[in-house]
Amino acid sequence: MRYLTMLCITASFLAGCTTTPATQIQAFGDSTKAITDKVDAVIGEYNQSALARIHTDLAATYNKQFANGLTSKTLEDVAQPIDDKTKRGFAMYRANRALGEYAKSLSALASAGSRADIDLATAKLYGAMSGINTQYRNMKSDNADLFNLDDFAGVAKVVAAIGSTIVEEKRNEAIKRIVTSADAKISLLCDTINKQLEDSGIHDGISASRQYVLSEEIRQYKGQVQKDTTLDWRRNEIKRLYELKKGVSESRLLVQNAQKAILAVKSAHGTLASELKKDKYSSEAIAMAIGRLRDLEKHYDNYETLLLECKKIEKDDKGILSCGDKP
Amino acid sequence: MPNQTIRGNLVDAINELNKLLEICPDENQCFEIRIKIRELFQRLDRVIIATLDSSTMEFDEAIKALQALTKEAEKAKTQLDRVAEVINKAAKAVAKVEKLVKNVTGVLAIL
Repeated sequence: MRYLTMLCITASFLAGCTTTPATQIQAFGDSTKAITDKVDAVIGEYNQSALARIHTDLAATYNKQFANGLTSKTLEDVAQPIDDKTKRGFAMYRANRALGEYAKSLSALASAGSRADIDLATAKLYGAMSGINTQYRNMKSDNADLFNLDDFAGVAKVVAAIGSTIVEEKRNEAIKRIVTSADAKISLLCDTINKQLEDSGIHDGISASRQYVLSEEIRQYKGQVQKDTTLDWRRNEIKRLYELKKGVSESRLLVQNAQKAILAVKSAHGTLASELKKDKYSSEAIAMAIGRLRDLEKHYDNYETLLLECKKIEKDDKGILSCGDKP
Repeated sequence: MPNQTIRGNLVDAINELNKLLEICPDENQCFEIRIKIRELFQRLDRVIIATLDSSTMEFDEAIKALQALTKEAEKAKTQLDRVAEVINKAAKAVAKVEKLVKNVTGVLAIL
Protein backbone atom coordinates (compact mmCIF):
# COMPACT_ATOMS: atom_id res chain seq x y z
CA MET A 1 0.00 0.00 0.00
CA ARG A 2 2.84 2.33 0.96
CA TYR A 3 4.52 1.43 -2.32
CA LEU A 4 1.31 2.32 -4.19
CA THR A 5 1.05 5.65 -2.37
CA MET A 6 4.66 6.45 -3.21
CA LEU A 7 4.00 5.54 -6.83
CA CYS A 8 0.98 7.85 -6.95
CA ILE A 9 2.95 10.72 -5.43
CA THR A 10 5.78 10.17 -7.92
CA ALA A 11 3.32 9.96 -10.80
CA SER A 12 1.60 13.15 -9.68
CA PHE A 13 4.95 14.90 -9.45
CA LEU A 14 5.93 13.76 -12.92
CA ALA A 15 2.53 14.68 -14.31
CA GLY A 16 2.96 18.08 -12.76
CA CYS A 17 6.26 18.43 -14.58
CA THR A 18 4.54 17.89 -17.90
CA THR A 19 3.08 21.33 -18.08
CA THR A 20 0.85 22.70 -20.82
CA PRO A 21 3.77 24.32 -22.68
CA ALA A 22 5.63 21.01 -22.75
CA THR A 23 2.48 19.30 -24.01
CA GLN A 24 2.21 21.83 -26.84
CA ILE A 25 5.87 21.36 -27.80
CA GLN A 26 5.36 17.62 -27.70
CA ALA A 27 2.27 17.94 -29.91
CA PHE A 28 4.27 20.04 -32.38
CA GLY A 29 7.06 17.45 -32.42
CA ASP A 30 4.68 14.54 -32.87
CA SER A 31 2.70 16.14 -35.71
CA THR A 32 5.86 17.29 -37.46
CA LYS A 33 7.37 13.81 -37.24
CA ALA A 34 4.16 12.30 -38.64
CA ILE A 35 4.20 14.78 -41.52
CA THR A 36 7.85 14.07 -42.36
CA ASP A 37 7.00 10.36 -42.50
CA LYS A 38 4.25 11.13 -44.99
CA VAL A 39 6.53 13.34 -47.09
CA ASP A 40 9.03 10.49 -47.20
CA ALA A 41 6.23 8.31 -48.54
CA VAL A 42 6.04 10.47 -51.71
CA ILE A 43 9.23 8.84 -53.01
CA GLY A 44 7.73 5.51 -51.99
CA GLU A 45 4.64 6.29 -54.06
CA TYR A 46 6.80 7.12 -57.09
CA ASN A 47 8.48 3.72 -56.77
CA GLN A 48 5.20 1.94 -56.19
CA SER A 49 3.50 3.46 -59.23
CA ALA A 50 6.60 2.73 -61.34
CA LEU A 51 6.61 -0.92 -60.23
CA ALA A 52 2.88 -1.24 -60.96
CA ARG A 53 3.59 0.16 -64.42
CA ILE A 54 6.52 -2.23 -65.04
CA HIS A 55 4.50 -5.26 -63.89
CA THR A 56 1.58 -4.20 -66.10
CA ASP A 57 3.93 -3.66 -69.02
CA LEU A 58 5.42 -7.15 -68.74
CA ALA A 59 2.01 -8.77 -68.31
CA ALA A 60 0.62 -6.92 -71.34
CA THR A 61 3.66 -7.23 -73.60
CA TYR A 62 4.44 -10.93 -73.16
CA ASN A 63 1.04 -12.21 -74.08
CA LYS A 64 -0.22 -14.61 -76.78
CA GLN A 65 2.35 -14.91 -79.62
CA PHE A 66 4.82 -12.79 -77.62
CA ALA A 67 4.67 -14.86 -74.43
CA ASN A 68 8.01 -16.52 -75.20
CA GLY A 69 9.74 -13.18 -74.87
CA LEU A 70 9.42 -13.36 -71.09
CA THR A 71 12.52 -14.86 -69.48
CA SER A 72 14.19 -14.87 -66.07
CA LYS A 73 16.50 -12.17 -67.42
CA THR A 74 13.48 -9.91 -68.10
CA LEU A 75 12.42 -10.22 -64.46
CA GLU A 76 15.97 -9.61 -63.23
CA ASP A 77 15.79 -6.15 -64.78
CA VAL A 78 12.69 -5.22 -62.79
CA ALA A 79 13.70 -2.70 -60.16
CA GLN A 80 12.23 0.33 -58.45
CA PRO A 81 13.67 3.45 -60.11
CA ILE A 82 14.71 5.13 -56.87
CA ASP A 83 16.54 2.55 -54.79
CA ASP A 84 17.53 3.09 -51.14
CA LYS A 85 21.07 4.15 -52.04
CA THR A 86 19.84 6.75 -54.54
CA LYS A 87 17.20 7.93 -52.08
CA ARG A 88 19.75 8.49 -49.35
CA GLY A 89 21.63 10.77 -51.75
CA PHE A 90 18.66 13.12 -52.21
CA ALA A 91 18.90 16.43 -50.37
CA MET A 92 15.11 16.32 -50.05
CA TYR A 93 15.25 12.95 -48.32
CA ARG A 94 18.13 13.93 -46.04
CA ALA A 95 16.53 17.26 -45.15
CA ASN A 96 13.25 15.54 -44.39
CA ARG A 97 14.97 12.92 -42.23
CA ALA A 98 16.86 15.62 -40.32
CA LEU A 99 13.61 17.51 -39.74
CA GLY A 100 11.87 14.34 -38.57
CA GLU A 101 14.67 13.50 -36.13
CA TYR A 102 14.63 17.03 -34.74
CA ALA A 103 10.85 16.90 -34.24
CA LYS A 104 11.02 13.49 -32.60
CA SER A 105 13.81 14.53 -30.23
CA LEU A 106 12.11 17.82 -29.36
CA SER A 107 8.95 15.92 -28.53
CA ALA A 108 10.91 13.45 -26.42
CA LEU A 109 12.59 16.26 -24.51
CA ALA A 110 9.30 18.04 -23.93
CA SER A 111 7.69 14.89 -22.57
CA ALA A 112 10.66 13.42 -20.69
CA GLY A 113 9.52 12.68 -17.16
CA SER A 114 12.70 11.47 -15.52
CA ARG A 115 16.31 12.50 -15.41
CA ALA A 116 17.27 9.44 -17.47
CA ASP A 117 14.66 10.29 -20.14
CA ILE A 118 15.88 13.87 -20.25
CA ASP A 119 19.49 12.73 -20.65
CA LEU A 120 18.49 10.41 -23.49
CA ALA A 121 16.32 13.03 -25.18
CA THR A 122 19.15 15.54 -24.80
CA ALA A 123 21.64 13.28 -26.50
CA LYS A 124 19.19 12.58 -29.33
CA LEU A 125 18.34 16.24 -29.76
CA TYR A 126 22.02 17.13 -29.93
CA GLY A 127 22.43 14.48 -32.63
CA ALA A 128 19.41 15.82 -34.50
CA MET A 129 20.74 19.38 -34.30
CA SER A 130 24.08 18.20 -35.67
CA GLY A 131 22.20 16.46 -38.48
CA ILE A 132 20.33 19.64 -39.31
CA ASN A 133 23.59 21.50 -39.19
CA THR A 134 25.15 19.14 -41.74
CA GLN A 135 22.15 19.36 -44.07
CA TYR A 136 22.07 23.13 -43.65
CA ARG A 137 25.67 23.37 -44.81
CA ASN A 138 25.14 20.90 -47.65
CA MET A 139 22.23 22.88 -48.98
CA LYS A 140 23.95 26.23 -49.20
CA SER A 141 26.86 26.93 -51.48
CA ASP A 142 27.41 30.20 -49.60
CA ASN A 143 27.22 28.49 -46.22
CA ALA A 144 29.77 30.81 -44.66
CA ASP A 145 27.19 33.60 -44.60
CA LEU A 146 24.21 31.56 -43.64
CA PHE A 147 25.56 29.10 -41.15
CA ASN A 148 26.23 30.73 -37.81
CA LEU A 149 28.65 28.62 -35.82
CA ASP A 150 28.38 30.79 -32.71
CA ASP A 151 24.64 30.46 -32.79
CA PHE A 152 24.85 26.71 -33.01
CA ALA A 153 27.48 26.55 -30.26
CA GLY A 154 25.09 28.48 -28.03
CA VAL A 155 22.38 25.93 -28.64
CA ALA A 156 24.79 23.09 -27.98
CA LYS A 157 25.69 24.66 -24.63
CA VAL A 158 22.05 24.89 -23.65
CA VAL A 159 21.47 21.28 -24.59
CA ALA A 160 24.52 20.19 -22.60
CA ALA A 161 23.36 22.23 -19.61
CA ILE A 162 20.07 20.36 -19.46
CA GLY A 163 21.95 17.11 -19.15
CA SER A 164 24.38 18.20 -16.47
CA THR A 165 22.52 20.63 -14.27
CA ILE A 166 19.01 19.50 -14.69
CA VAL A 167 16.52 21.80 -13.10
CA GLU A 168 13.03 20.91 -14.13
CA GLU A 169 11.78 24.46 -14.53
CA LYS A 170 14.70 25.31 -16.81
CA ARG A 171 13.60 22.83 -19.43
CA ASN A 172 11.18 25.27 -21.07
CA GLU A 173 13.88 27.90 -21.20
CA ALA A 174 16.16 25.41 -22.93
CA ILE A 175 13.42 24.48 -25.40
CA LYS A 176 12.95 28.18 -26.09
CA ARG A 177 16.65 28.58 -26.89
CA ILE A 178 16.68 25.50 -29.09
CA VAL A 179 13.52 26.34 -31.04
CA THR A 180 14.44 30.00 -31.58
CA SER A 181 18.00 29.18 -32.64
CA ALA A 182 16.93 26.38 -34.94
CA ASP A 183 14.16 28.35 -36.64
CA ALA A 184 16.21 29.67 -39.58
CA LYS A 185 17.59 26.21 -40.24
CA ILE A 186 14.19 24.54 -39.98
CA SER A 187 12.83 27.15 -42.37
CA LEU A 188 15.57 26.35 -44.89
CA LEU A 189 15.05 22.60 -44.58
CA CYS A 190 11.33 23.06 -45.24
CA ASP A 191 11.98 25.35 -48.22
CA THR A 192 14.41 22.80 -49.68
CA ILE A 193 11.98 19.93 -49.32
CA ASN A 194 9.20 22.05 -50.85
CA LYS A 195 11.33 23.19 -53.80
CA GLN A 196 12.59 19.72 -54.59
CA LEU A 197 9.11 18.27 -54.42
CA GLU A 198 8.11 20.92 -56.98
CA ASP A 199 11.16 20.69 -59.26
CA SER A 200 11.87 16.97 -59.32
CA GLY A 201 8.77 16.18 -61.33
CA ILE A 202 7.88 13.22 -59.14
CA HIS A 203 4.21 14.01 -59.83
CA ASP A 204 4.81 13.76 -63.60
CA GLY A 205 6.37 10.34 -63.12
CA ILE A 206 3.52 9.14 -60.92
CA SER A 207 0.79 10.39 -63.26
CA ALA A 208 2.48 8.95 -66.39
CA SER A 209 2.90 5.53 -64.74
CA ARG A 210 -0.68 5.50 -63.50
CA GLN A 211 -1.94 6.58 -66.94
CA TYR A 212 -0.07 3.74 -68.62
CA VAL A 213 -1.69 1.20 -66.28
CA LEU A 214 -5.10 2.76 -67.01
CA SER A 215 -4.54 2.59 -70.79
CA GLU A 216 -3.67 -1.12 -70.59
CA GLU A 217 -6.73 -1.76 -68.41
CA ILE A 218 -8.96 0.05 -70.92
CA ARG A 219 -7.51 -2.03 -73.73
CA GLN A 220 -8.11 -5.20 -71.70
CA TYR A 221 -11.69 -4.11 -71.00
CA LYS A 222 -12.35 -3.55 -74.70
CA GLY A 223 -11.12 -7.06 -75.44
CA GLN A 224 -13.28 -8.61 -72.74
CA VAL A 225 -16.53 -6.91 -73.70
CA GLN A 226 -16.30 -8.56 -77.13
CA LYS A 227 -17.31 -11.71 -75.24
CA ASP A 228 -20.68 -12.13 -73.55
CA THR A 229 -20.62 -10.07 -70.33
CA THR A 230 -23.36 -8.85 -68.01
CA LEU A 231 -24.25 -5.21 -67.51
CA ASP A 232 -23.39 -5.63 -63.84
CA TRP A 233 -19.90 -6.90 -64.64
CA ARG A 234 -19.32 -4.06 -67.09
CA ARG A 235 -20.57 -1.48 -64.57
CA ASN A 236 -18.18 -2.80 -61.93
CA GLU A 237 -15.35 -2.68 -64.44
CA ILE A 238 -16.22 0.89 -65.38
CA LYS A 239 -16.19 1.81 -61.68
CA ARG A 240 -12.75 0.23 -61.35
CA LEU A 241 -11.47 2.11 -64.41
CA TYR A 242 -12.96 5.33 -63.06
CA GLU A 243 -11.04 4.85 -59.79
CA LEU A 244 -7.84 4.36 -61.76
CA LYS A 245 -8.56 7.53 -63.74
CA LYS A 246 -9.16 9.36 -60.46
CA GLY A 247 -5.75 8.19 -59.29
CA VAL A 248 -4.18 9.70 -62.41
CA SER A 249 -5.99 13.01 -61.91
CA GLU A 250 -4.96 13.22 -58.26
CA SER A 251 -1.28 12.40 -58.69
CA ARG A 252 -0.21 16.04 -58.54
CA LEU A 253 -2.37 16.62 -55.45
CA LEU A 254 -0.45 13.88 -53.69
CA VAL A 255 2.75 15.91 -54.07
CA GLN A 256 1.02 19.23 -53.42
CA ASN A 257 -0.37 17.86 -50.16
CA ALA A 258 3.16 17.00 -49.07
CA GLN A 259 4.33 20.51 -50.04
CA LYS A 260 1.47 22.10 -48.16
CA ALA A 261 2.17 20.04 -45.05
CA ILE A 262 5.88 20.84 -45.04
CA LEU A 263 5.18 24.57 -45.45
CA ALA A 264 2.75 24.32 -42.55
CA VAL A 265 5.55 22.82 -40.43
CA LYS A 266 7.74 25.78 -41.37
CA SER A 267 5.00 28.21 -40.45
CA ALA A 268 4.17 26.43 -37.17
CA HIS A 269 7.83 26.36 -36.16
CA GLY A 270 8.07 30.05 -36.98
CA THR A 271 5.01 30.78 -34.82
CA LEU A 272 6.43 28.67 -32.00
CA ALA A 273 9.81 30.45 -32.18
CA SER A 274 8.19 33.86 -32.33
CA GLU A 275 5.94 33.18 -29.33
CA LEU A 276 8.76 31.63 -27.31
CA LYS A 277 10.89 34.71 -27.98
CA LYS A 278 8.15 36.67 -26.18
CA ASP A 279 8.30 34.10 -23.35
CA LYS A 280 4.88 32.85 -24.32
CA TYR A 281 5.02 29.12 -23.76
CA SER A 282 1.35 28.66 -24.30
CA SER A 283 -0.77 30.87 -26.50
CA GLU A 284 -3.67 30.87 -28.89
CA ALA A 285 -1.26 31.33 -31.81
CA ILE A 286 0.72 28.21 -30.82
CA ALA A 287 -2.47 26.25 -30.29
CA MET A 288 -3.76 27.32 -33.71
CA ALA A 289 -0.49 26.47 -35.47
CA ILE A 290 -0.41 23.03 -33.87
CA GLY A 291 -4.10 22.52 -34.59
CA ARG A 292 -3.40 23.27 -38.24
CA LEU A 293 -0.60 20.68 -38.32
CA ARG A 294 -2.78 18.07 -36.67
CA ASP A 295 -5.57 18.79 -39.12
CA LEU A 296 -3.21 18.41 -42.09
CA GLU A 297 -1.86 15.18 -40.65
CA LYS A 298 -5.37 13.82 -40.10
CA HIS A 299 -6.64 14.67 -43.58
CA TYR A 300 -3.36 14.08 -45.38
CA ASP A 301 -4.68 11.50 -47.84
CA ASN A 302 -7.94 13.30 -48.41
CA TYR A 303 -7.49 15.35 -51.58
CA GLU A 304 -11.02 16.69 -51.35
CA THR A 305 -9.95 18.66 -48.28
CA LEU A 306 -7.06 20.14 -50.25
CA LEU A 307 -9.37 21.08 -53.10
CA LEU A 308 -12.00 22.51 -50.75
CA GLU A 309 -9.39 24.84 -49.27
CA CYS A 310 -8.06 25.75 -52.72
CA LYS A 311 -9.25 29.00 -54.30
CA LYS A 312 -7.88 28.24 -57.76
CA ILE A 313 -8.37 24.63 -58.87
CA GLU A 314 -6.63 23.89 -62.16
CA LYS A 315 -6.88 20.99 -64.59
CA ASP A 316 -4.28 20.53 -67.32
CA ASP A 317 -4.79 19.03 -70.80
CA LYS A 318 -4.05 15.56 -69.40
CA GLY A 319 -6.81 15.92 -66.82
CA ILE A 320 -4.36 16.32 -63.92
CA LEU A 321 -5.83 18.36 -61.06
CA SER A 322 -3.80 20.86 -59.08
CA CYS A 323 -4.27 23.74 -56.70
CA GLY A 324 -3.01 26.92 -58.35
CA ASP A 325 -2.89 28.97 -55.14
CA LYS A 326 0.42 30.56 -54.24
CA PRO A 327 1.81 29.01 -51.03
CA MET B 1 14.08 24.54 -65.44
CA PRO B 2 15.56 22.42 -68.26
CA ASN B 3 14.49 19.13 -66.70
CA GLN B 4 10.89 20.19 -66.91
CA THR B 5 11.15 20.64 -70.65
CA ILE B 6 12.66 17.23 -71.32
CA ARG B 7 10.49 15.68 -68.62
CA GLY B 8 7.35 17.40 -69.90
CA ASN B 9 8.06 16.35 -73.49
CA LEU B 10 8.75 12.78 -72.42
CA VAL B 11 5.46 12.67 -70.49
CA ASP B 12 3.59 14.19 -73.47
CA ALA B 13 5.07 11.60 -75.84
CA ILE B 14 4.32 8.70 -73.47
CA ASN B 15 0.75 9.89 -73.00
CA GLU B 16 0.15 10.11 -76.75
CA LEU B 17 1.56 6.60 -77.18
CA ASN B 18 -0.73 5.43 -74.35
CA LYS B 19 -3.74 6.84 -76.22
CA LEU B 20 -2.59 5.11 -79.39
CA LEU B 21 -2.19 1.86 -77.48
CA GLU B 22 -5.80 2.09 -76.28
CA ILE B 23 -7.09 2.05 -79.88
CA CYS B 24 -4.38 0.12 -81.73
CA PRO B 25 -6.05 -2.81 -83.61
CA ASP B 26 -2.90 -4.73 -84.54
CA GLU B 27 -1.23 -6.86 -81.84
CA ASN B 28 2.18 -6.67 -83.55
CA GLN B 29 2.04 -2.91 -83.61
CA CYS B 30 0.79 -2.84 -80.02
CA PHE B 31 3.81 -4.90 -79.04
CA GLU B 32 6.12 -2.38 -80.71
CA ILE B 33 4.31 0.55 -79.07
CA ARG B 34 4.66 -1.07 -75.64
CA ILE B 35 8.38 -1.58 -76.11
CA LYS B 36 8.79 2.09 -77.06
CA ILE B 37 6.67 3.24 -74.11
CA ARG B 38 8.88 1.12 -71.86
CA GLU B 39 12.06 2.63 -73.31
CA LEU B 40 10.70 6.16 -72.91
CA PHE B 41 9.72 5.42 -69.30
CA GLN B 42 13.22 4.13 -68.58
CA ARG B 43 14.56 7.52 -69.71
CA LEU B 44 11.88 9.38 -67.76
CA ASP B 45 12.90 7.56 -64.56
CA ARG B 46 16.41 8.87 -65.10
CA VAL B 47 15.37 12.40 -66.05
CA ILE B 48 13.37 12.69 -62.81
CA ILE B 49 16.63 12.36 -60.85
CA ALA B 50 19.01 14.01 -63.32
CA THR B 51 20.63 17.36 -63.87
CA LEU B 52 20.58 18.24 -67.55
CA ASP B 53 22.56 20.84 -69.40
CA SER B 54 20.03 22.74 -71.51
CA SER B 55 22.67 24.62 -73.48
CA THR B 56 23.84 21.65 -75.53
CA MET B 57 22.93 20.64 -79.06
CA GLU B 58 21.94 17.20 -77.73
CA PHE B 59 19.36 18.84 -75.50
CA ASP B 60 17.73 20.67 -78.43
CA GLU B 61 17.80 17.56 -80.58
CA ALA B 62 16.16 15.48 -77.86
CA ILE B 63 13.39 18.05 -77.43
CA LYS B 64 12.79 18.20 -81.20
CA ALA B 65 12.73 14.40 -81.51
CA LEU B 66 10.23 14.08 -78.64
CA GLN B 67 8.00 16.78 -80.09
CA ALA B 68 8.09 15.12 -83.51
CA LEU B 69 7.10 11.81 -81.89
CA THR B 70 4.21 13.39 -79.99
CA LYS B 71 2.93 15.07 -83.16
CA GLU B 72 3.14 11.84 -85.17
CA ALA B 73 1.39 9.85 -82.43
CA GLU B 74 -1.42 12.42 -82.37
CA LYS B 75 -1.91 12.03 -86.12
CA ALA B 76 -1.75 8.24 -85.95
CA LYS B 77 -4.78 8.13 -83.66
CA THR B 78 -6.96 8.97 -86.66
CA GLN B 79 -4.67 7.50 -89.35
CA LEU B 80 -3.61 4.11 -88.05
CA ASP B 81 -1.43 3.44 -91.10
CA ARG B 82 1.01 5.94 -89.57
CA VAL B 83 1.78 3.71 -86.54
CA ALA B 84 4.96 2.37 -88.20
CA GLU B 85 6.23 5.92 -88.56
CA VAL B 86 5.40 6.54 -84.88
CA ILE B 87 7.59 3.56 -83.94
CA ASN B 88 10.45 4.97 -86.05
CA LYS B 89 10.15 8.39 -84.48
CA ALA B 90 10.00 6.84 -81.01
CA ALA B 91 13.24 4.93 -81.67
CA LYS B 92 14.92 8.19 -82.74
CA ALA B 93 13.60 10.07 -79.70
CA VAL B 94 14.79 7.34 -77.31
CA ALA B 95 18.28 7.49 -78.86
CA LYS B 96 18.41 11.29 -78.57
CA VAL B 97 17.27 11.31 -74.94
CA GLU B 98 19.68 8.50 -74.12
CA LYS B 99 22.56 10.62 -75.40
CA LEU B 100 21.44 13.33 -73.04
CA VAL B 101 20.89 11.34 -69.86
CA LYS B 102 24.03 9.25 -70.15
CA ASN B 103 26.40 10.00 -67.25
CA VAL B 104 24.27 12.69 -65.64
CA THR B 105 24.37 13.65 -61.99
CA GLY B 106 21.39 13.56 -59.65
CA VAL B 107 19.33 16.74 -59.46
CA LEU B 108 17.84 15.90 -56.09
CA ALA B 109 21.26 15.48 -54.55
CA ILE B 110 21.93 19.20 -54.79
CA LEU B 111 19.87 22.30 -54.30
